[in-house]
Amino acid sequence: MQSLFDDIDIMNRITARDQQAFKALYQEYGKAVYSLAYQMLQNSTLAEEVAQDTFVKVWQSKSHWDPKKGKLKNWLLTITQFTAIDRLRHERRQPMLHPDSIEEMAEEIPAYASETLWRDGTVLRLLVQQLPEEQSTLIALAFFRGMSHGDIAEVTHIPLGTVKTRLRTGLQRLRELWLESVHQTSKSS
Amino acid sequence: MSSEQKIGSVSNCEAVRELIPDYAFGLTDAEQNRFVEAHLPLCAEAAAELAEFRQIQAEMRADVQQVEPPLSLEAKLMAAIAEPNSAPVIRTPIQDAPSLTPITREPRHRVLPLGWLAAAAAIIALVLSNGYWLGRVNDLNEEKAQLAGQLVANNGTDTPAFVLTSTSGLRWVRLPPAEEAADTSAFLMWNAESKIGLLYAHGFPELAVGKTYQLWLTRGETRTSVGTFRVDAEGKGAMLFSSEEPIDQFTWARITDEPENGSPQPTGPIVVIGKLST
Repeated sequence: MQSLFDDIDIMNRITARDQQAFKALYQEYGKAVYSLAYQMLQNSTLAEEVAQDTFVKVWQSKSHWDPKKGKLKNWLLTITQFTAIDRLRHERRQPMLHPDSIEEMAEEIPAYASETLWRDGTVLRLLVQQLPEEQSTLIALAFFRGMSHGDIAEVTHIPLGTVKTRLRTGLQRLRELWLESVHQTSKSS
Repeated sequence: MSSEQKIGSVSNCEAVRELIPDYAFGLTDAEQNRFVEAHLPLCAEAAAELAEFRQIQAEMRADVQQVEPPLSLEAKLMAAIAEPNSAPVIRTPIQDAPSLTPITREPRHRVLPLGWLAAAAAIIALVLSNGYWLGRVNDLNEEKAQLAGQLVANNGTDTPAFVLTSTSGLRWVRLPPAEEAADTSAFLMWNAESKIGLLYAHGFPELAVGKTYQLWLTRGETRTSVGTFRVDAEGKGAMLFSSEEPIDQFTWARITDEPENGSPQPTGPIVVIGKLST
């Protein structure tokens, strides 16, 4: 596992155009970046492109990592998520090509059944298992598909007001469960 | 009461806290965002709650099921950054999107200006209806002979008709100008299974006497010439070209300004350059 000093060193070298440092960055975080892109897009070609875009953005220094604001991995995964959402939104802007997209998207929602989304043994998996599926699915659609309340209402055929309520309730419950798990972890350690 | 006190009032903090879950997950509108961002510095509880959601989100990103990336991804990335002016990834038409089928199944998705689509349609019609473009395939005699041999020998994937009508593997990229301000660009079309492609150039500067444009496909340090062409008075030109290897196996395409009979390696300035989809 990379230490903070390793990460700072690697990013300094990338800023100095060191291709070996860039390779090391990919080798350390490439799998995490690709995995997130793949889970969001459910498509290997798109995931590869998004992963490639993410790392090229880092090389082109289009955004800068500030070690004081968080881990390098978190920063990379945030770029990945936004890049993937941009790609999803771009694809969604083609309504004429997909007159039946809304109906078919509704059918794909089970693919976002939250349990299969998460790595075994993670705290998040356990927490999300405790949420009603009607909430956890909406959270996944908002977070991993970048959908607005309106998008979700359209796709799921759930009234807009209900979507808003379920999402807010689900997110608040998720935070409560997460805080409980953090407290338990800190007590036991 | 000062405006700052108003902003930091208890009722406002409660309103901000109510919006924090939606704000954290990008579900608030522009007005709500402005409200949250204006009040957040003055509402410690809301700020703490937002920080907790940010931490949850970081875990959500990191805790998804892990999938091995394709082995080729590292090499592609290294090739991408090794090129000067490393450009963003050019989109591949989607062909294997089971779960995202409603969004991504069509290979036609690449967004092209209408002018480009019209130009491509015109080229397809011309290529399919006569052999005019074959006459412009290649100003280098040996490449012309090679192409003619391929066209005769192959009834399958290496015919112009296959390249341009088999939409299942059809790929295209726009090659943007090397100089940002220029209007020059080119459009490259090929089929994933084929070694033949089509180039349409637009807005190219008129060539000086004794000069030609040359198309190169590159991979790593290797630059392979696939033909030369000239443009008309309007700066338009086209050619059908062939390659010894499937075009998918190359990483970049570029067009340079070269002496009349072409060069073994690029010597002139790059006019357009773009990354292929592989």
